[in-house]
Amino acid sequence: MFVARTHKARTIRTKEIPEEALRILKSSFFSYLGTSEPGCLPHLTAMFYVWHDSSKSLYLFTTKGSRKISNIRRNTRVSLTVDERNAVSPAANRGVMIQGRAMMIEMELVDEMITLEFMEKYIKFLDAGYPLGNRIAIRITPRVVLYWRGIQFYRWKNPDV
Amino acid sequence: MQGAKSSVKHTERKWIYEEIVDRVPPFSWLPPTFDVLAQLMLVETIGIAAFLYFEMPIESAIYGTLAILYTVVWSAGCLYVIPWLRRLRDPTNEEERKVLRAYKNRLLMDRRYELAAGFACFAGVYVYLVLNADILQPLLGAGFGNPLLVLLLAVLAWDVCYRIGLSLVTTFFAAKRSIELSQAARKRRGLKYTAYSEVRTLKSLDSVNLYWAASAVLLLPLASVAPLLLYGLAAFLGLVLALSAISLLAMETVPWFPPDVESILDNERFAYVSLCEKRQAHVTPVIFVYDGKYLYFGISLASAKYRKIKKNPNIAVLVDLRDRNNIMNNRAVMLRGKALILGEITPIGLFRLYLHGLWMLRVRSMFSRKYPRYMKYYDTQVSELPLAWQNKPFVSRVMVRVEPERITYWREARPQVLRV
Repeated sequence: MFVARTHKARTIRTKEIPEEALRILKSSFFSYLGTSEPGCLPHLTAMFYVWHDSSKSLYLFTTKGSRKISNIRRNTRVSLTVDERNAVSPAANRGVMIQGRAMMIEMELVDEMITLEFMEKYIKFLDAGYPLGNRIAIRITPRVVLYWRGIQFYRWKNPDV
Repeated sequence: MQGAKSSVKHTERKWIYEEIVDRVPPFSWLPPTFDVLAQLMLVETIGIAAFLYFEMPIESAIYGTLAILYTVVWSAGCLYVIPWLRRLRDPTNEEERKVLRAYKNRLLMDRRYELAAGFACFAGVYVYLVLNADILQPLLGAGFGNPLLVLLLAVLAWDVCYRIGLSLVTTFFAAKRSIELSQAARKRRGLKYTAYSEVRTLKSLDSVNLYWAASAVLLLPLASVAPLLLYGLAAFLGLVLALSAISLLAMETVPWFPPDVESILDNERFAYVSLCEKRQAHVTPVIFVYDGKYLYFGISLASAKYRKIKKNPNIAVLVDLRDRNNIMNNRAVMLRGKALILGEITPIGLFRLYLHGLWMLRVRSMFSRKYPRYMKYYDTQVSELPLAWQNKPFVSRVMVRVEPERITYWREARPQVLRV
């Protein structure tokens, strides 16, 4: 009917991941990982992460028995959002959404630098009863990186994937 | 030993009606649904035999059949409601558990109330009819005064009165339980609550009380022979309606979620929405409000969320309490369920608008109370934003209502699944 659909969201395609997006990925603390259960039922968890700049990928650490791991075993397509929220104006909200493939890596095989970086970033949490045993790493390789600032969207597509 | 125990438990919780159905031979042989029919056939045959033998006028046959029909329709409801009551699961909140347990016991184990109510009703009708026997004279014709017929009438009258009394008692207990439950629910602590599916079951069981009251309308022609009976029936119907209304209102005040979950949903300002399309997840932040039952957020018609929800309404929403300094303070709630788009201009959207329109206005005002600055931004910057991102209902924005089906609550990085 007369629903206004002509107004598309303006998205700018970029050649590289925007600087600002990288800054958010490096400085933010919490990320939200969306996986899907069989039947395309979404599942969502808040997680700690580190961004690895040289391989342009993202590392998460979690327990082996968790739901997200069993979801990723069945379906490796995941989505992860990191954002800076602003309570005053929506124009100042910015964030990054990554859509890509997840890969599970045993803890011993993960690059030591990344584990160290993770420890350093979340040092306050790791000694306060954070479950350390039975862990596994998830590496997310982005297929698309979407960055937004207010109403402006930037989209980077990974040429290697 | 185990079997004996369970059978004791099984026989304990029964209404007199069920007991009769279980013990008396022709009924005890049949499955429950046939019991009702067998009961109808048996009583109706006796009634017709009496009608033919005593050459009664045709009205009495009709009235009598209606009365029998009432008992049968009532019994059908009874067979439906009792298994459901037994299947109810216990709330995790101790006080609410006590209320529900006392309710079940009063309803299924204690016969004093139903017998007292039935007897009071029966005695009233009986005394009234004995004192005003001339009412029955034209109805019974030649059989008037025959002791067998008096006995048959008394049995039928008891049958009807017992059911009326029992419906009154169950409705009264339902209202009492609803009020107690809503009071107990206000004292919830932490993660203690009554799963909403149980509350919903109780609500639908309460509607059986209304069904019983509605089936009493079958008695109207019979009661119309005497004004006092008519008043009595009207009073019964009025009382049941009033008590049901009180019960429903009290049940509406029972919160859906435990207080820990509610406090996060009420106080946190951002939610993350996950959708799934072609096996690919999609996560975005939104602002939201929570009205005690559903979670609402607004989206643009140009957004990917709108497109994806249209294709797959399954949704997961995560609301979390962030604390960078202490992991013990980090909590999160994930609601999984179905999303419903409100405010579209399509035939089905207009129908939903008709159903939920007033509530949508309320949700809109909740948004402006929770996010005054955001709403002000949308109001003042309206000319600068592209139309797709303006906050104009119907033209560029729709509202999404999330109905939770499963809740997961995280505390100290440990998930806990709660029943809805």
